[in-house]
Formats: sequence, structure tokens, C-alpha cells
Amino acid sequence: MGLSCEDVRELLPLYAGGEAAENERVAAEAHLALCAGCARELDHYREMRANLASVREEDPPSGTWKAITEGACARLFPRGARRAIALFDEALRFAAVLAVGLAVGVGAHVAARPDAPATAVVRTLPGGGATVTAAPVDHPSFHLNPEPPTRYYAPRVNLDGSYYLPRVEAMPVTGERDF
Amino acid sequence: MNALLILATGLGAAQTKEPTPLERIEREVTAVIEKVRPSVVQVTASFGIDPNLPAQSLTFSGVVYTRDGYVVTDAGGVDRAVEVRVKKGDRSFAARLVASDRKSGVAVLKVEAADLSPAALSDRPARPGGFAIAVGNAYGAAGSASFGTVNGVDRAVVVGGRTFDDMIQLTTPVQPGDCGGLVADASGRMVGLVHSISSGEGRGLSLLEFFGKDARDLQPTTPVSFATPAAAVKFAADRIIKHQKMVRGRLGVTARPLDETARAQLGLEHGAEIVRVEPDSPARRARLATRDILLEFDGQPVRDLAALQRKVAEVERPTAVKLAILRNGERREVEVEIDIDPQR
Repeated sequence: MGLSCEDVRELLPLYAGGEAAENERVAAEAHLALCAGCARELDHYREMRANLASVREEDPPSGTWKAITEGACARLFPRGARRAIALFDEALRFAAVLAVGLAVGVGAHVAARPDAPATAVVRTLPGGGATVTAAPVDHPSFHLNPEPPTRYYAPRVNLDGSYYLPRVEAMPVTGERDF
Repeated sequence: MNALLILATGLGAAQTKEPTPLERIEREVTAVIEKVRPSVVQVTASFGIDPNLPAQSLTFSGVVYTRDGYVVTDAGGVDRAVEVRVKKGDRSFAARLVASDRKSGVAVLKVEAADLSPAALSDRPARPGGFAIAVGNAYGAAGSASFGTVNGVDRAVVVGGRTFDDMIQLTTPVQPGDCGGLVADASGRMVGLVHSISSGEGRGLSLLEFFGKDARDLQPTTPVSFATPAAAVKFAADRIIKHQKMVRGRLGVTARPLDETARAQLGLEHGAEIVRVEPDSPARRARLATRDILLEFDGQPVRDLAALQRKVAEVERPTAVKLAILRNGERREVEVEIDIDPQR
């Protein structure tokens, strides 16, 4: 039983590219020898492949794309609308550039701004003389970590100087003595 | 049966573990602390700055000096106090400030008590490397003890704008409230009175400074503590107890030793250069001036300024002394009357 025309048309891309299996090639050739319609189809396919191959090998002539665009616009839009569309395209392009620039500038400003001061909780210990301050402390994180820095509260005891121990201001080594 | 008991005891004794050197040291240190702790008291000085507010107060330490109630402490803590109290265990005493010695920073208090435990003072000066066990009242915790060693001796420190000479430098950690506490050596004798602490902030050259970082961002270095030597405490306390005020001789100069270059240029083997003359002092009245070279004091060559300082301090009443000085290359004899330091 030979292949139908529909079967052969499905095989044409493989057959034309030399990639069909042996049995498929034999069956397709047997059908093409007897079917003029499929033979013409094969010729058209081979011509299109050849044309496509030549298009990839070199750039189109100068002005090709402009001609295509203008031709398409002329067929799709009336004359007045074409100018409006062109202006709108320019405006859209400008707005896009402006939006990107603003986004970059705002982002850089936010990144450089210091963190808002953290609020601390202060309470006085019974008996006075000392206060405990719980202030948020930024936990350092690896700079590539996309997660925001972890903050934890570290209690710190602050003494108000009720317990006496003076601090040395200097240690002179001049050997001077007064008497 | 008796033989078996004797054998078992012998075997047990043989297996008893000998204390390690570290255990022996620990035992000795704790024994010293237990020995000196009864001599350390808590001192609270109140300052009535604003009559509408509760009195501000400072809490620190003191050392019992005599059994009948004389206590030595830091002069800075009681300066201008309106009330001073001394606490020992659950007993609290009203204390009277007898006098202070501005030169050594030692103050003597008197409490009405008859059975206190005075500290035993060492008759040998502290030496670098020696043990220094401090007992005080860190943050009000009575009898707080810490252990360290003597870093150095004969240090000069400036505290509150005043210079204190011959201070003992310690590695012993001290905390607020320890000022006036006792520093003991390995034998449990007092070698010093806790005086002050360095700030502990390192300001060495650092890359951080190039990047404009504040020095406070730097990690602080380990603080160093200082103590008034026992000899200075004894001198001040004995004088104050005897006279009920501080009696210390005064010449009224600040002098520094001549360095080797200066001695070579001047052709001298000894001497000290006067760098400052106190106004209204024996030195000013004797017309001594800066840049005068002190050659002899009371017929003795000036070789050791520390010894000269002690000699002047020991004067108990106005005393005339002959000095030999070098002024503009010319030797002169000057008579000066050592007076008593007015303790300003």
C-alpha cells in the first residue's frame, strides 16, 4: 500500500532536507513518480528553501525595512493618524527613558540614606542608680544576602555614675615632680 | 582486723590526690581575699546639690586603718561631701572627714567604732610581676574581689587635673565602686589603695581614621588600673591622725631631672631643672625662678627627685634649708624656708 498525498506532504520537509528514513524516502519517491500535484509541491518547497538560504547569507539592501514599515502603515492607517502615531512613539520612548532614570536615581538615594534612628526602650532598675536600655542592634549579614538585616534588641546597663572610680586623663612621662 | 584497717587507711592515703600547682594558687588567692575582706568597708558620700532633689551620692570603698575607727579612702570621693557614711556588713556608721591630702589623694575618715579589723600594711613596695588582689565594692556589691598583677610602679597619672606620682599600675580589673578599695599582695598585706582606671581607648594609627571613622568606633584596649602605694597612704594617714589635718612640707616648685645631654653641656653630674614656681610659695619668696638648676638641697646633692620630694614632704614645721642652684652658669647659695602645704 503506497503513501497518500497527505502523508507525502507531511514528509516533504524531511525528504527535501535529506533527513527522511530509508523506507520513507522510497515510499515518497514511489508516490512522487506517479503524482504530479505532489511533485509540484516538492518543487515549490525546494525553491522556498533555496530563497530562505540566500536571505540568511547576506543583509537586505538599504532601505528595505523602512519601505516595508511605510508600506504597511500606508495600507493600515490613514495619513493623519500616521503622524500622530509617530509622535506617540517618540513620546513613549522618551517617557520610558525618563522612568528608568528616575528609578535609578531614587534607588541610589534610598540606598545611601542612613537608617532611621532606632527607638530605644529605657527603664530604671529598682533602687535607682542604673538604667537598662534595650536598643535595636543591626545584625551584620552577608552583603549578597537579599534578606533585610536582622535586628535584635540588646539590653545594655547604663550606670549613672553613682559608683565612683575616676578615670585617668593622662600619664605624663616627663619625670616632673612638684614639692 | 586492726591490721586490715591500718592497711586500708594507708592505701587510701597513698591514693589521695596531691593538689596541682593551680589548685594551690587558687587556695592561696582565696585565703588572701578572706583575710583582707574584713578590712574593706563601703563608703557613701552624699552631696546636697539641689535642695529640691534627693541628695546625689557616690558609693565607693575604704580600708580600715585603725581598730578605733580611722578609715582611709580616696579624697576625690569625699571632696565637698555634706555627709559621709561607712558601712561594714549590716552595720552603718556616720563618718567624719578628718582631712585629705591633695598630693596623694588620700582622705581619712573617723567612725565611732571600737572593734574594726585594720588592714596590715606591707613594708615593702609593690614590684612588677607581683600579685595584686583587689577587694572593693564594685557596683555596690560588698567584698568584690579581683585578681591581677603589678604592671609597673612609679607611674604618674593625671586625674581631675591633678598629678599623682609613684602610682602602682595594675592588671587587676577594677569597677566603679572599687575606688578606695584594698590592693593586697600574695601575703595578704596591703600594697595600695585603688585609685583610678585608664580610659582603655586605643588611639593608635588605624586605617579607620583614614576613612573618617571616629576613634570611638575602634575597639577599646584593656583598661589599666592604678593604686596609691601603701607608703603614701601610711604617710598621709599617720600625719592626719597625729595632727588632725594634713601636714606636708612644701617648697613650691615643679622640677624635672636633667637629662644626659643637659648634664654634659653644663658639666654636671647631678641636678634638677625648675620648670615651674608656685605663686605665694617659699620658692617664690626665695626668688627661685624657672630654668634654675637645683644642685644641692640641705647640703646633699640632688640626684633623685623622688627622694627629694619625700624629704621636703616629711618637714612637719616651717624649716629653713640651704639650697645650691645654678643660674645662667653661675652657682648661688639660696636660703629658703620650707612651709606647710596649705592643701589648696
